[in-house]
Amino acid sequence: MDDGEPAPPAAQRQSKKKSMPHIPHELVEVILSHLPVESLLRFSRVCKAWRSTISLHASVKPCLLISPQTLRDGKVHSDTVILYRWEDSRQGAALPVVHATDMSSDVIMHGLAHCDGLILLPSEAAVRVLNPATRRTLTLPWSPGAEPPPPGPNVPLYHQSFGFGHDPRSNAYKVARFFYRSIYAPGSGECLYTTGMEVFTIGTDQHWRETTKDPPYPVFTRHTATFYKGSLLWSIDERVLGHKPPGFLRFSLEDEAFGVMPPPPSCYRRLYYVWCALAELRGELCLAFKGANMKTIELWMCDNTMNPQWNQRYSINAISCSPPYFNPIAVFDDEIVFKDWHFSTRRYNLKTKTYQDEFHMKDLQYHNPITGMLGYQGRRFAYFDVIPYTPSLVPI
Amino acid sequence: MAATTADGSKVVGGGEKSNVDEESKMITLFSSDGERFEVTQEAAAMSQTIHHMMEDGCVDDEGVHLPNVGSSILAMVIEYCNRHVASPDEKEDIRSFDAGFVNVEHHTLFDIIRAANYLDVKELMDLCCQTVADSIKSKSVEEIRELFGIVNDFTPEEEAEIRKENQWAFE
Repeated sequence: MDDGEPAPPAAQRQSKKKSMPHIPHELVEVILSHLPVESLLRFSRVCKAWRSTISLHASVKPCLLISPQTLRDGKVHSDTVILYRWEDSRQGAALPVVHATDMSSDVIMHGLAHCDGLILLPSEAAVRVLNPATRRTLTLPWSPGAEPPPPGPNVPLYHQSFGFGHDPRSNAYKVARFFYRSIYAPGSGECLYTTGMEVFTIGTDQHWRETTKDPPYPVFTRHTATFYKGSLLWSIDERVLGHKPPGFLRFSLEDEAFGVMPPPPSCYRRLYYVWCALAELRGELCLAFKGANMKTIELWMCDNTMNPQWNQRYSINAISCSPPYFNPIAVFDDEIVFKDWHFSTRRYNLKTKTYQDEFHMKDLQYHNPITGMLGYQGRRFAYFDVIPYTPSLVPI
Repeated sequence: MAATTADGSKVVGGGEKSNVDEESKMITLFSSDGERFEVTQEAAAMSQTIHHMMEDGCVDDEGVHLPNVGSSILAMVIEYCNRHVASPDEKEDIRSFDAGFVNVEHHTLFDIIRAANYLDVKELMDLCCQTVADSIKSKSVEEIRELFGIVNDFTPEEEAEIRKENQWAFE
């Protein structure tokens, strides 16, 4: 059976069975790259070479997480936030659960955010940060900014919006909360509002801290900010502002100061901020929105938020009949994964310029680890949040 | 599934004729121990190594010598490639083929990984590495050392330090 050698005597056969063929370290590294983070952590004890390879984090693959949210009384609620890892190869199988957090009561979820393996779970009632790999969860303290101002006609339904990112100067992770102290929209005339921002530094702060200056522009509530190179970017709410915004509200985590990131110069007038999306793709900042003729989606790229030199990288044929919503999430190989509305995720191949089959996230199998059953009995899925995720062992 | 032909060479895979078939363009591969294998060019091209050799015109009439791959392992790699080019769209069939294919002992898997790496057959590499990863992810550190033939080069103090750092992983 082996390569033509005569069968050795019994004693030698026994010892031959024990000695494994040598596998060179570079192939061991490939095997390690297929392992989950928990195993990698344990195997860092095997020997010095393994420890070195593992600690370089070269072995950890990025993926996508899906968080289904259900509907009750017409609002998006979650009493449990469950994160599932989306895996391309396992069609038909239930998605593996990465983490389940019991929020203790029905909460209205904001968009999730991810930074370096940490996930922000913001809701109207409570804010948590979690690292699924280390299974540590941090519940942020209550703050005055969480209290909504008195409700009124013509104003947004929610009053706050979150952001999450890494401050390179202090090497700390910060959560930011934009909130309206007051907002009032009489039937005619402009909207009157006052804003506030508070920050919580993980590992340092015991309480939320308000910024010295208030945000100079109003932003869309419940739209979690995009983090890019040390700054948080929010879309300015043009209805509340009353005129075309000068760009995106930029909040630097380093000096906790505000600025504006301008859009591409040709887009000032034609950009509808409620329908555009920002995302970090392969190290660049991507701005995506539907062109005026509604037939193409424009993807513009830049590499910094202070003085962006935008260039239009792609012009993609829009999928007809859908609302003008193209929300890029991540790039894997040469394909952009994006959400095009509440339920479906598609991939667009940049080389072949074609769309892959979309998949409706409702059609995937979700095993609810709390109830032990498949699916969410009785409750309709209202929304699926999809975020990129790269496991890490960052402590919180 | 190997049939021995009149001249003693082995033909591996789905009942193909041993004669050179003009239309399906065969190529000859030689294992390290001198065994001869006839494969379609299409299947051989799954190996990027061989594919580049064919493109660069480095393959002569004699065939391709693979000094790093033994015959038993080469036969398996060829079986994999034949199966994958035959019906690439029948996902269910391929999935069950793959599952059966990797149902072998670790040392065979390691041999296949080394061969797939040398021949640069990405899909086979991924399949086997994922299989090995799945089978070892719950193993203890001692079991890993035994499996890979690794000698522990940490001092007891160093090991204790790492254990302490990563305490939660040992729950």
